[in-house]
This record gives sequence, C-alpha cells and structure tokens, in this order.
Amino acid sequence: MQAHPRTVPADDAAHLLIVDDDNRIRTLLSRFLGEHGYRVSLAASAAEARGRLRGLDFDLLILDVMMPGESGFDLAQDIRQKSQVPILMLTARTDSDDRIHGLELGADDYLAKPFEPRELLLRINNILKRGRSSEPAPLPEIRFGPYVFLTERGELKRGDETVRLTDREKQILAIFAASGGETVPRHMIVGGDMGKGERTADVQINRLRRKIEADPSNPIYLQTVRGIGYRLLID
Amino acid sequence: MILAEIRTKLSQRLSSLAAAAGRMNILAPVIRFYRIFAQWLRRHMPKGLFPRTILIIVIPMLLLQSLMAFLFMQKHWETVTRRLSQAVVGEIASVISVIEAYPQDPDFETITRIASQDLKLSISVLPPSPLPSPRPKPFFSLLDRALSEEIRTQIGRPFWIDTVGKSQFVEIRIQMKHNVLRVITRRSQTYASNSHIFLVWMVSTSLVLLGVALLFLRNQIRPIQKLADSMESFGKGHPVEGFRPRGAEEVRRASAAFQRMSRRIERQIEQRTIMLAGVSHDLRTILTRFRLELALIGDNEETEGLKRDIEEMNSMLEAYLAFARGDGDEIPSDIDIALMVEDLEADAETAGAKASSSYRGAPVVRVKASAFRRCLTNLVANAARHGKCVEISGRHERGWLTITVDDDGPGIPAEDREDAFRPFHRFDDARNLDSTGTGLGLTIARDIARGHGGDLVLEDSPLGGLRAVVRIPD
Repeated sequence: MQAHPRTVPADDAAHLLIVDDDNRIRTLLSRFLGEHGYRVSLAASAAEARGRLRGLDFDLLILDVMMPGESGFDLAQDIRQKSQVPILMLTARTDSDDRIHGLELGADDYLAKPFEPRELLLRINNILKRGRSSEPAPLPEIRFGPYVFLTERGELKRGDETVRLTDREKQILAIFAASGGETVPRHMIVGGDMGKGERTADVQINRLRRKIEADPSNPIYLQTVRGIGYRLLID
Repeated sequence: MILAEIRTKLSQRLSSLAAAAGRMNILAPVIRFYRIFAQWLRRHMPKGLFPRTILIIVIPMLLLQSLMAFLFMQKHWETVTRRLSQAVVGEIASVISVIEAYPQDPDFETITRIASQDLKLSISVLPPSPLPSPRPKPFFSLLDRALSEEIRTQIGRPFWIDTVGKSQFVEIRIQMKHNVLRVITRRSQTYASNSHIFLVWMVSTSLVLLGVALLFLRNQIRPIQKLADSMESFGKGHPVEGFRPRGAEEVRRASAAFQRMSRRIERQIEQRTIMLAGVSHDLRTILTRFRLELALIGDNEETEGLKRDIEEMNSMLEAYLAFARGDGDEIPSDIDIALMVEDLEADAETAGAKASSSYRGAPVVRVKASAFRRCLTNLVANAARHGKCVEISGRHERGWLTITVDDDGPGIPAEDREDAFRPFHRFDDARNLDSTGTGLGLTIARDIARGHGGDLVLEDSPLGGLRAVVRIPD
C-alpha cells in the first residue's frame, strides 16, 4: 500500500512507517506527511508492520495504540527489544496513565488524537533531529549555583534539602537538562490544561524562577533569550 | 465541673418545666422531660456500637446484682442472726434456770466451768446491783434487735446488752432474783458475719461471665464494623476488597445486599467505561480526519472557521466525556495536593488572571488524581474566566481537605447558585461571555467532589465575586 504523494520526496528524505487501523487516517497522514517532504509507508495492523520492518529500516514509526488484535503497546514493546528506531505513539485515549505506560515501553513521544497536524510535524522533526545529531545521553544530573537536579528521579536539591517541584516544573527542568545548556525555544515548554501555547511557558518559567532565583526579576540561572526562549546556565 | 453545669442546666429546665406544667396538661412536661433526658443521653453516652452494647448489658446487670445481693443479704443475715441469737439466748436461759433451781457453790464455780466448757459462754455471777443505764444503740443493728427480742421472749427479765463496746464480743447482763448474771460471748456465736464469702463468689463469677459476654459481643459486633468500613470506603469510591458476609443473620443479609449493590454499581460503571471508550475513540478518529483534511486543503478564510468549529467540537466532546465518565474508572492514589494547588495557580496565571495560592496541613491526600484535578481545574478556569484575581487556598485538617477558589468576578446571586450545577445550564448574563462554555464545568466538579464522599458549594467571596468550596474527607 505505497502512498502516491503529489510531490516526490527527495531520496534522502526520512522514511516513516505509519501503523493505524483506520484506512482514511492512514491515507490522509501519508498525503500530509508526503507533502511535507517525508517518504511514507503504511501498515494497517501490527502483523503488517512487522512484515515491513523486516524488509526495510525506517527512521521513525508512527503507531496507533488502539488497534484490533495486537495493540500498539504490544508492538512497541516488541520492537524495542530488537531495535532503537524512534517511535511516536498516537492514541484516542488521553489518560495520563496511558501516556506514562507508552513512554515506559520505550516510545519516544506521545500524541493524543485529535492532534493538530502541525504539532505532529513539529514532534516528528524533533525526534528525527535528536536521532540524527547522535546527542549524548541526557546528563544524569545537572548543577547550577547551589542546586543539583537529578534527571532520573526528577529531584531538585539545594544542599541536602529537596526543593518541592510540581510535575510540570520537573518536566521543564528535565527539558533544560536534555538541552545541556542550550537555549530551549518557548514552544518546547508546554503543558497546562487551560491556556495553551507560549504564555504557559512564561508563567511556568516565572514560577520556577521564584523557587530557585534569589531575585526572580533579575534571574541568574534561568535566563530569557529574547525572541527565542529560555536558557538554563549549567555549571 | 461538667456535672455541676449539667445539674444547673437541668434545674433551670426543670423550673421552666414546672411553670409550663401549670399551664398545660400533665403529659406535656413528662414528654418534655423525656426529650431533655434523651438529648442528654445522646450527647454524653459513647457513640460506638461496642461501648453502647457494653453499657446496655453491664448497667442492668450491675443494678440487678446489687439489688439481689442487698435483698438476699438482708434476708440471710436476719435469719441467721435470729437463729444464732435464739440458740445463745436458749443457753443463757437454761444457765439461769440451773442457777436459780439448784443450790450452788458460793462462787458459782461449777456452773461457770460447765458454761465455758460446754456452752462456750463466759459467765460470771455478780452481786446484786442495778443494771447500768442502756447504752446508745447503733441505728441499724440487726444483732441488737434480734438478741433483745429473744431475751424478752425467752427469759423475760430485765436485761442490759452491749453489742458495740468490745468489737469481738457481746456482753449481756440479766437481772436474776438474787444476782446479776453477766454473759460474754463471741460475736460470731450470735451473728452471721462470715457472708463476705458469698459476695466474693458473686462478684467474681459475674466478672467472669461479663468477660465471656464481652468476648462474644465483640465477635458479634466486628462484622457490623467491617460492613460499615467497607460501605464507607465504597462510598468514597475506593474498591471493596476482601469483604465477605459474616456474623449474625441480619448482618449477613445487610452485607450480602451491600455486596450485590456494589457489584451492580461496579458492573454499570464498567459498561459505561467500555461505551465511553468506544464513543471517544470513534469520535476522536473522525476529528483527527477532519483536521488532517483541513491541513491538506491549506489555510484560507473558510478553513479558519472550520478549524474553530472543530476546536469547539473537540472541547465539547472532552467536556461531555468527562461528565459522563465522572471518576468511576479511576483508582485513588496518594497525591501531593499542595503541588496540585500550585499547578492550578499556574493555570490561572496562564489564563491571564492575577493568581495567588496557599496551603495548610499535610500535603498528601488519597484522591482520584486526574478526576480531582479536573474538578479543581474547572473551578479555577471558571474563576479565571470571570474574574481578574483568583485566590486558591487549601486546608487539610481534622480528616477533611478543603479547597477554596475565590474570584472577584460578577458572582452568582444566591438564589441562582443551585441552577449553576444543573447540567447544560448556562447563564444569560455576564457569565456566558465565553462561547465554548458547555454548561458542564460545575456539574462535573460537583460530581467529582461527591464521588470523593464530599461536596462542592458556592458562596459569596470576600474578593467580591464567587467562592467555590470543595470539601472531601481524606
């Protein structure tokens, strides 16, 4: 079931495999991604996906969770045992339990249906960039000033004292840890259930500053990079 | 102190009662007194089933035992003392007869010896002299009464008796024809004073019986306590585990009925969960297609409108699903509510309001995390939508978690507040500026609060707008 994109992608374009049981979504996705310069293969079930994986190496898997027969979770777990190909899970369920389960199984990212197609593009780009730059594994801990952030446990310490952080604040610190001192664009810092977008980032950063900066209006560690985003000064 | 208070209170009430009795018929004050007594009982008696049962069993038992003991001892003492007195007085009478009928040696030696050897009476014959004046008698002396009566009937001569002076002994003096006979005898010879054994037996056996009764009682009451615990936990939405009907038949019946009920509810929840999963999966799939199709068409004026419609439809779908789902399919876990409150403050800030938050008490509470967060998020979103300032405060004390969300918006008049909870209800005034409101936010929030065994109420806020108070047991 090879799709026939209107614009022929370049030969070195990233090759994606889309696994979804819904026929229309498959074709729509393949057209959409094809238009944005990806080579796309399709599979309607876990079994079909396995067949395609045997024959070819893919740069990224886009995997639907709820499929008749073998679920996306099972397939992801199975694939992870053999290969490190990046996996992006798609699901019509939004429970955070599901998301955690998917990420635990080794999925690289997770997107809930109905997703905004542009967000999907953004995430695909991010995953592929990460894979290509063969970046070092995220640091086990980062230090800035008197603080130590333990990435795995999501714990921020000042000396022996643990600083109480909400889950979102931990996520943001983890993003900074992964960036290794680079500037993080604002749209990467998302979250929140009400206001979406970049305002969320500003609010969260401000709150984080109030917790770690001596003078939140003149931040030392969490600096604003005008027009782009934020940067954490890591020692 | 408390007793004195109660007493003054009671006497006040009684005096008011007496005044009332003059005006009304006689029955009314009786009923009122009964009410006061019942109220007092309710307030001061223990609340638990076990202590109550103990009191109900122990108090009548104690009363009955005491009454029985008293009556029995009274009777027993009387009989025994009379018998003993009869015997002693009989002996004294025969000694008197012997002294008066037969010639005696000058010192009455023989009769004294015989009396002390055979009758265990220490007697002495005194030269004639008037009897001493009667001693003050103890008020309630059984012995004194019995002895005097016997001497009067059997001997019929003037006598003097002293049952108090020497504690171990009783002294009796009797005026004979020529002399005065003094008899000193042991108390135990005339008086039944060994009955403490009976008391000891009674008390110890009733203690043993009481202990056994308490053991059995506890076993009877435990199933009721277990039933109450399970029902409470089920009411809070926690799963009921390892509960089996036990104990007396009535308790078993209640337990079995509870089990059937909880299973039925669980089954319904399960069916609803399956249906919701299906509906949400299918509708979301279609919405995904819409979005992809729109993305392929590209941006123009028509698609902008369509995109907004899809956005709205999506948020409505989420709200309806959340409303239908409630919190039935979530398992409670220990959550740091203080951090959740911080998150909510951040949400309110993100939505553009000036937000502040505070928290007091132990931060960790067992709740259905995402449901409870949805409940509070709905309240905070409402507050941020209608007010410029949002204040969130949490308090965890005495077994209750209270979260208060205040805003300085237009508020809701007191008479309309109940309406605000009705599903799909939308206010026509300033509260309905937002077109994406589904009229479900407060309904969902209240459902979730009630699902945790608590409630959500709306009040006036000190900030000038609306105050929403969520209160759940921990």
